[in-house]
Amino acid sequence: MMSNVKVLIVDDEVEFASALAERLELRGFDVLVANSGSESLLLYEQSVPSVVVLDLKMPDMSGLDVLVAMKKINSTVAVIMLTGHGSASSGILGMEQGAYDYMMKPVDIGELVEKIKMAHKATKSAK
Amino acid sequence: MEKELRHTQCAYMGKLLAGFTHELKNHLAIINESAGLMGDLLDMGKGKEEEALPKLKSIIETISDRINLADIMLKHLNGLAHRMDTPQSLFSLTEVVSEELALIKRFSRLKGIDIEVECGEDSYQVFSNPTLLQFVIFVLFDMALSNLESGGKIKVVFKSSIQGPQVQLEMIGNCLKKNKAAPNNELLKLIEFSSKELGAKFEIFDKSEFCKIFSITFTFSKP
Repeated sequence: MMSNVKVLIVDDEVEFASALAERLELRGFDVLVANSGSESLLLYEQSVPSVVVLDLKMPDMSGLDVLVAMKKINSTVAVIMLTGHGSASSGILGMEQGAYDYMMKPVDIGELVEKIKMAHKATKSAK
Repeated sequence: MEKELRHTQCAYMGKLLAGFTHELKNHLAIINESAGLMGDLLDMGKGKEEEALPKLKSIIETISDRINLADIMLKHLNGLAHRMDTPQSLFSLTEVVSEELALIKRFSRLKGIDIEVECGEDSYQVFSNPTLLQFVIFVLFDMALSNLESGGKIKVVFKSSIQGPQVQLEMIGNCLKKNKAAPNNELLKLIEFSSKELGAKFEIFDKSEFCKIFSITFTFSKP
């Protein structure tokens, strides 16, 4: 049951985050949305998601800063980075900081769902 | 200095294009998710199409808005690219600077710095090098965005003086590092050299004691 999988989407583009959240909900996931780095850290601490889908570029905090802060709070949660960059370099940088995986925007929903399922398993086994 | 100027100009184009493509990718990502969601609602809500109608209409609006925003950005980028067709031309100061501001906005949004434009009815016609002017403006913006704290403001003012049309950039707010607001010697030399090429005079006002960090004004001759 995907409703056991709590996903936190972090993206400052409100329309992107809400559309993606709805698509994941239609696929049975339990989804939370944060539109800034600071908001995401609060939700992360309060709701303890099993997977985070995190945008790299945000106005208040960069995705990498958010990732580092999340890992300090709870290092077991798998984080998938989303990047709008044309190259993979920023995604790889995220993985060096402890991200589980990365994807480039625009995302393929099927591919994202598979990555979330795998990330959820990784989170469960890390606990 | 000319060699340095060319190198910095190439770096400027690179940075501007990186920002533009990143923004375009964001619009595409929203269009992609919106179109995907429409498909999901139709596929997963068979027999409930009537219920999904308001939602579908709102998604179509989102897609249309994003296409418009991407189109505006493309028009500005195309305009910027065509400025290079003729090195010297008669142009509107407000049009050339605003064209660039539309592409710079993303950088200021990410830094949490506001851009305010003040201009009258005049289009402030000048005869100069528009590409070089856009480059100088970008360099100054880049410097301001690196030095200003989040919450700061960059004010762009167009005005007429006895000598001719003017464009003024004012950086307002707190500085990240003390005494780092004004351009360093290297940048000053670059601005000085570029101003000569532009046929414009420039003046710097350091107003740090008034919390306005500094302002720079370019005055062009009347065409």
